[in-house]
Amino acid sequence: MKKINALGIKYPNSKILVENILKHNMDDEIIVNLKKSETQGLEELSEKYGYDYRIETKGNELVVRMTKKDIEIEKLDVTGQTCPGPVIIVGDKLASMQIGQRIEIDSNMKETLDDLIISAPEMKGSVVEEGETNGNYYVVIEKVEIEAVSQVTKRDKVLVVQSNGIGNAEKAYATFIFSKAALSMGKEVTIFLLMDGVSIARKGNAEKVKHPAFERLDKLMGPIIEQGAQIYVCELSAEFRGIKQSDLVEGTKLAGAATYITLLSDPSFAVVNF
Amino acid sequence: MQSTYQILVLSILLSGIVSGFITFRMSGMKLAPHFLVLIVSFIVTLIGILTLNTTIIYAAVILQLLTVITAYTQTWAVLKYNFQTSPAYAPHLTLMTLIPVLSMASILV
Repeated sequence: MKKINALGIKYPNSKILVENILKHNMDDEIIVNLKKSETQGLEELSEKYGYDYRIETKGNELVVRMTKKDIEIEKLDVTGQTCPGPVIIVGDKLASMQIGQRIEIDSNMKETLDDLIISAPEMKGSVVEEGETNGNYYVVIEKVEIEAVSQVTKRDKVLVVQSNGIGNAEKAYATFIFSKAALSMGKEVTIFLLMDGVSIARKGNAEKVKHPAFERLDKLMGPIIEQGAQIYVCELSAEFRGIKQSDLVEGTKLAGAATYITLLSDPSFAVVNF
Repeated sequence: MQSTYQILVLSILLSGIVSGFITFRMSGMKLAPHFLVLIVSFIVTLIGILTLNTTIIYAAVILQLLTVITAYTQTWAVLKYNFQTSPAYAPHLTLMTLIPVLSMASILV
């Protein structure tokens, strides 16, 4: 329980104060002492943040009690759903939820939940818990209010989108040569392989790409992964080609449309297409 | 055995060198074994037509079949995983696929 004495604070400052407290509060109950005339907007705030609202009068003062509503966690099983199904289902669900409400998403595929974890902030969600039970994976996401993002963001990350694969050696080389350069410049590099691009991540395929002027593609790709570049492989494109996570080279992982959209939506990324 | 079919194969091999070179530049060194067999096959076929020597023509037919086989084995990964890029390989593969029937006809008909 948190007690706040706000007797000297007038509306709208009293409302701003209470909202800031509710936004960052971890306690189940908040008690605010206010003058009678300064309670404007507090009932809406308690509803917005999932609290029960109660007022007690003490002479010229008011005691506002805000008690957290019982948190019911709804469950969503996205097992068997293929990309971008899970993100559509969860996105729609989060859109209909109130701030503070939580949802548990279950799946037998970790990649599906990883995709949701990455994209949660874009859907106004915050991951509060994730884990595994009996071979099934789960993640609990809470609906949160996203604070305004600064308009001026430094673009210190590079997203390389590759959609041509081993059928176009020049573009395949460019993907990793460019990534190598970006890593050398201290940029954070993420490579997203989609459509034909997924063929590069299949075990044994990069070994077949060799230009006389360059190292074999797999020898260029390996060190880039070791240097920390994250390589995502489009789940849908991989499925189209019968490629599974077990077919992929180490350091690459399947990711869904939500991951791709989240990366594209991040203003700190400069996007390059090959 | 007649040389007409071998002349047709020769023209296909010559066209194949052009389409193969374009494909070769796109895919890197991956097509090198196929391209080598293709050129050797062209030379032996030409010698076979000029000399009409049965042994050389038989050798040319074997090389011609090898040219077709290597075209597919060397581009298999592209055909299997690159749906968008594989059409760029289609003209060359189509030309190569004309060869086996004509090659066999040249020794059987």
